[in-house]
Amino acid sequence: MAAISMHAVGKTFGKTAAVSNVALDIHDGEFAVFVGPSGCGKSTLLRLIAGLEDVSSGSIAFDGQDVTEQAPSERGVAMVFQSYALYPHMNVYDNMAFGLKLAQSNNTNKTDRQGMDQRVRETARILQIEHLLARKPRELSGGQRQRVAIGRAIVRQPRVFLFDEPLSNLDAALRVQMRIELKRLHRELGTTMIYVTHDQVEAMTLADRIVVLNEGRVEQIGAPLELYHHPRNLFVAGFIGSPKMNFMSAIVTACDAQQVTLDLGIGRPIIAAVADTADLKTGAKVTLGLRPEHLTDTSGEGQLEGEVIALEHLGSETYAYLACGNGEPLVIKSAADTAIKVGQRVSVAVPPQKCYLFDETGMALARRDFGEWNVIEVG
Amino acid sequence: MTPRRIKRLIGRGAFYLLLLVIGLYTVFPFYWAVVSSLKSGSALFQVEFWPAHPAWDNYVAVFREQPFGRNILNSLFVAVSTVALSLSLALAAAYALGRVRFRGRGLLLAVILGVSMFPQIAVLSGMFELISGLGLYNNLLALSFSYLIFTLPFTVWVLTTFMRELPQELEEAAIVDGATPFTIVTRVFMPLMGPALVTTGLLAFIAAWNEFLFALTFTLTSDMRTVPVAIALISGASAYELPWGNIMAASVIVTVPLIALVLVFQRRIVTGLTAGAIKG
Ligand SMILES: Nc1ncnc2c1ncn2[C@@H]1O[C@H](COP(=O)(O)OP(=O)(O)OP(=O)(O)O)[C@@H](O)[C@H]1O
Ligand SMILES: [Mg+2]
Repeated sequence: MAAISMHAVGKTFGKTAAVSNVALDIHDGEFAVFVGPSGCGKSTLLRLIAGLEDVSSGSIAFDGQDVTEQAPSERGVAMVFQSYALYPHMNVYDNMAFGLKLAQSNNTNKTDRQGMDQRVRETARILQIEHLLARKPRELSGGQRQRVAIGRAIVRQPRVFLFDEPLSNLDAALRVQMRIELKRLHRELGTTMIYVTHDQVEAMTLADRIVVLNEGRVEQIGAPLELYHHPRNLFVAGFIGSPKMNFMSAIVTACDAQQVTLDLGIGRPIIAAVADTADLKTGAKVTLGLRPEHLTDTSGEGQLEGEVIALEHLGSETYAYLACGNGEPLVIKSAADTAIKVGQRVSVAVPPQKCYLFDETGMALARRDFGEWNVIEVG
Repeated sequence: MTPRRIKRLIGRGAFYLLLLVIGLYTVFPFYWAVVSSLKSGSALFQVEFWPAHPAWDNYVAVFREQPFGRNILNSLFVAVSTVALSLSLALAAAYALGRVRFRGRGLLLAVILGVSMFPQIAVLSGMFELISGLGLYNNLLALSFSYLIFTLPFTVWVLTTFMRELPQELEEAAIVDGATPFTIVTRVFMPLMGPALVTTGLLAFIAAWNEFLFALTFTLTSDMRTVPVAIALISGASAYELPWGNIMAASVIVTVPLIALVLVFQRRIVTGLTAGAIKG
C-alpha cells in the first residue's frame, strides 16, 4: 500500500506533450480513477506511475520516497492491461506464478515453494478461477482472461494496482459484474488502486476520487458527486454526467445577492441560483449549463420551449431532444411512459438551484450547496 | 454436361498436369541419384529407371575408402554449432533491433542485410587471413565461425521482423513482473517464436550443411573435411575413373538427414502460437 504523489510531472514524445505539469496526490488505499477523452494522456500518466515510461520532467514519490528513477518491479506496482497481455505459452498457474518465481530467483534466501503455491491457489480461489489453473490463455473466455490478468496482479501483493481500461474488451453485462467485483477486491485488499477509463459511468461507480484529464492536464480532482455537482469548468461539466449537460450562452440582465437573471435570446428570462454574485455584472456574457435529468416537461408555463425532434426510449426513462433556438438540441429527461410525441411543442421548467453557470473563460461560478451531497474525505 | 463444367474440368486437368511436371522436374534428379547409387560397375552407364539388381556395394565403399563417418560427424558438428550460434546471436540482436528504440536502427538493419550481398569468394581471402590469424586453420571451429557470415543476416532479419510483431503489452507485463531483458527474451519471447526459430534454424542448418567453398579452403586433412568437400574429393582407382556410384551413394546419405529434418519440423512451422495472448 502506498500514497502516491506526483510533482510537476511532464512527458513529451518528440514534440507532442502527452502529459504536462501534473501535480497529483493519491492517498494510501484510495481508488482513484483517471478519466478523459481519447488521447488525453491517461495511459501515459499511468505508465509514468508504473515506471514503464520515464518522466521528461518532475518527480514521483511513493510514501514520500522518490521512485522517479526506479524500475516497475522496484516500485512494487502491478498492472492490468487492456489486452490482458497474458503469457500465451504458459498456463494460468504459471502466468500467475511467473512474477513470484522471478522474485524468488533474485532473492538469495529462497522463499519456500509452498508459500508461492499457496499464494497462487489462494488468489485463484478469491477470483474463482481455481478450475482454470491448468488451462492456456487461448482456452479461456474474455472474462476469464481478465480474471487471470487481475489474479496475476494480486498474487504479487503490490503496493499499487494500476488498471488501464481493463474492462473495455468485455461485453456490457460482464463489465458491470467485473466492476462490482473490482470494488469488492478493493475493499478486501485495501490497496491503492489507479484505474484508467474513458467511460464516465465506470469512473463514477468505482472511484473514491476521480481525476479528470484533458489534453495532458488535470482539469479537476474530486469525489464523483463533487464533480457532478461542482464541476470546476465547462470541460468537466460536459464530461461528467450522461447524457451530456446542455450548454447555452446567455447574458446577465440582473444580479441579486444569490441569484441572477439571464436572457438566453430565446424563451423567457431564467433565474439561476449562485453562491455569490460578486464576480458578475449586468451585461456579462455567461454560459448556462443544464443537466437533462434536471429538466422535465411541464404542463404549465416553462421558461424554455421547443419542438421535439427525437425521442430515446430507454425503458426506465425517456430522453427528448428539443429544437430550441438555433444551437444544439436541448435534451430533457422524461418519464418512461411519457405522452410526448415527435413534432409536439414542449415547455420546460428550469429550477433555479439546478443551473450551472460558467463565465466567459469557461470557469464555473460557485454554486450554492443545497445539501444534496456531502464531500466524503477519503484517506 | 454444361460447357462451363467442361471448361472447369479441363482447367483442373491442366492444373494437375502442371503439378505433375513440376513434381517430376524437382524430384527426378534425386530419384536418379538414388537409382544410380544402387547400381554397380558397368550397370551405371545403362539407362535403367529401376535397377534390376540393386546392390549396396557403393554405400559400403563410401565408408571404406575414406573416413566418411567422421566427415558426417564433422558436418553435424559444424551445422549444429552454426545454428546454435547464429540463433542465439540473432535472438539477442533481434531484441535490440526490434524492441529497443535507438538512433541508426534502420541503417544498422540495412547494413546487416547488405553483408549478405557479398559473394563468398569476395570475402574468402580476407577470411582466410582472419582464420589463420586466430589459429583456427584446419579446425572445425573455423567453419562454424565463418558460416555466421551468411547465416546471421537472414536469421537476424527474420527474427527482428517476427519480434517486432509481438505485442508491446506482453513485454511490459513481463517488465512489471520484474523480468530483465534476458528473461524476457528467453522465457517470454523465445517460446512464442518457435515457428520463426525452427524455420530460420532449418535454413541455417541446410546452408551450413551444404557449404563447400569455405569448407574446402579452411580444412586440410581428410578427417577435418565436411561432407560436401569429402564427396567432391572422392576419387577412383585411377585418375581416369570417376566413381559415380560412390558419389551418388554419398550424396544420398547426406541428403536423407535434411529431408528427415524438414519432415520432423514441418509440423512446428505453423504460426498462430500467439493466439490468446491478447483479447479475442
Ligand atoms: N509512444 C508514443 N510515441 C508518441 N506519442 C505517443 C506515444 N504514446 C502516446 N503518445 C501520444 O500521447 C498522447 C496521449 O496518449 P495516451 O495513450 O496517454 O492517451 P489515452 O488518454 O490513454 O487515450 P485512449 O483513451 O485512447 O487510450 C496522444 O496524443 C498520443 O498520440
Ligand atoms: Mg489509453
